[in-house]
Amino acid sequence: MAVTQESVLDKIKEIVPKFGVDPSAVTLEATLEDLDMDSLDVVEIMQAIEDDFGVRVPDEDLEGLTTMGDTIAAVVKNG
Amino acid sequence: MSDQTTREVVITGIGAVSPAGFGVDALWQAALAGQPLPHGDVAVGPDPSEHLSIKESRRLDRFARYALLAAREAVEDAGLDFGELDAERLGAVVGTGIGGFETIDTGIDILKEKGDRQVPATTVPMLMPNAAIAAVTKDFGLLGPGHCVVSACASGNHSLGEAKRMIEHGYADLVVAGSAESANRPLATAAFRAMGAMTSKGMSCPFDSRRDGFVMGEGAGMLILESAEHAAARGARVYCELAGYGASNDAYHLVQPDPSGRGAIAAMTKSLAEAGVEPGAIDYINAHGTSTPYNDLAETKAVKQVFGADSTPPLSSTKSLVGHMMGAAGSVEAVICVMSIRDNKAHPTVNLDQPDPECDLDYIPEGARELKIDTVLSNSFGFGGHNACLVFKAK
Repeated sequence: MAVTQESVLDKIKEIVPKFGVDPSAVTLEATLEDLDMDSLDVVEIMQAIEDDFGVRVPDEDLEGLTTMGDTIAAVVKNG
Repeated sequence: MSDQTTREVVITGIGAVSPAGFGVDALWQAALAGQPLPHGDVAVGPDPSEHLSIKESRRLDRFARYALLAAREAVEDAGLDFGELDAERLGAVVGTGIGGFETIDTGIDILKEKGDRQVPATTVPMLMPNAAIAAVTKDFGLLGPGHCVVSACASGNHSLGEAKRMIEHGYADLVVAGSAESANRPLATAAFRAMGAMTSKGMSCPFDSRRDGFVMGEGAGMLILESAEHAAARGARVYCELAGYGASNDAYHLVQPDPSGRGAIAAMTKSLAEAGVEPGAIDYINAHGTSTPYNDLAETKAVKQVFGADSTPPLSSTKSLVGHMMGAAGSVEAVICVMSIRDNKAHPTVNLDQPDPECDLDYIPEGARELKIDTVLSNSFGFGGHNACLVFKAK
């Protein structure tokens, strides 16, 4: 699967219900705080993305992320 | 304790989740009804996720979910408003026998199927035995002392006893105390079956000649312990006093009780002494009563040595009704003791149709019994040879 902003966003929307998050709230502008998500949730998202897309995002690229857009950009950069 | 340097500890709230369902009422009604468990070696508890949000459930192993639900019931039952209390003086002790077995089991599956990079980051904080107390203290904002007590099937009684110590020695005014267990996972059941601890006949029948192991249960029991002054100051309803706690080790065998009963006798004797009562004052004993061949005989002999063969009060096994909830057993049985004092009723031991000639005490086989119950002894003996006994006294 091509690693694009759109495909990664779709993947995240697909998995967030198990975190108790409404997929429609997942936008590029939404912050982790808006979504009531924390660093452990980000790890879980990254594991799902690595499993699906085969993309491994180094820890240093995950530091200081605040929005979904930042998170997705880190994935796309390493895709 | 009669020592004037210690404070009286009372019970003001109770909560339970058990194979009988959610809540103390479900547990107590099932116990009094004396309905035997369905055939099998596991008594499954209700799904705790029914009463928790997705966000709450996904960070908690099943045992910690049970602990949280039972704690919420106990807190509500005690009429607590934490906003009005000094959080620094509120403690917690939440024990377990094993910890997050669901998380261990699923984590191993993920490791084998998908490799080490897919193992959830939450694995350790969910499987650790103190995950339940972490959830309970966070939920209510309890800032005082707290820890997790682990002593196999004695964890519940040890937790309540250690909570009692915190209050009577002044380290906390109120402690949310109890224990939880959920180990109905393939690794655990295979291991318990391999050691012959679980019944191969699909029946929990303590003190019966056919007994050959326990039925595994799951759930949690939680109680609100307070200093008597703290309870009075907030006008709390008091169920009874937690008057005595006695603990000992067998230092004998990893999983078999010392046949001399030395450790069990010591724990019972210490708890009676601390409560300031003679054996003759005990109206009812909530037995450990696991339905294993070793335990029920050793317990019977030990009880007879403490109370006298002809003067032992009636005793019954909660494990015959809800299975052996292991680390949760002692605190669920403490809830039973509280209800026994409140209602002056003792629940039966079920499936006791063919008594073992060597188990010759009054185990209340016929059904729930009306009995004036002011003072109760509750026994718990764990793998590892850990013994913990509690004495409850009517106020």
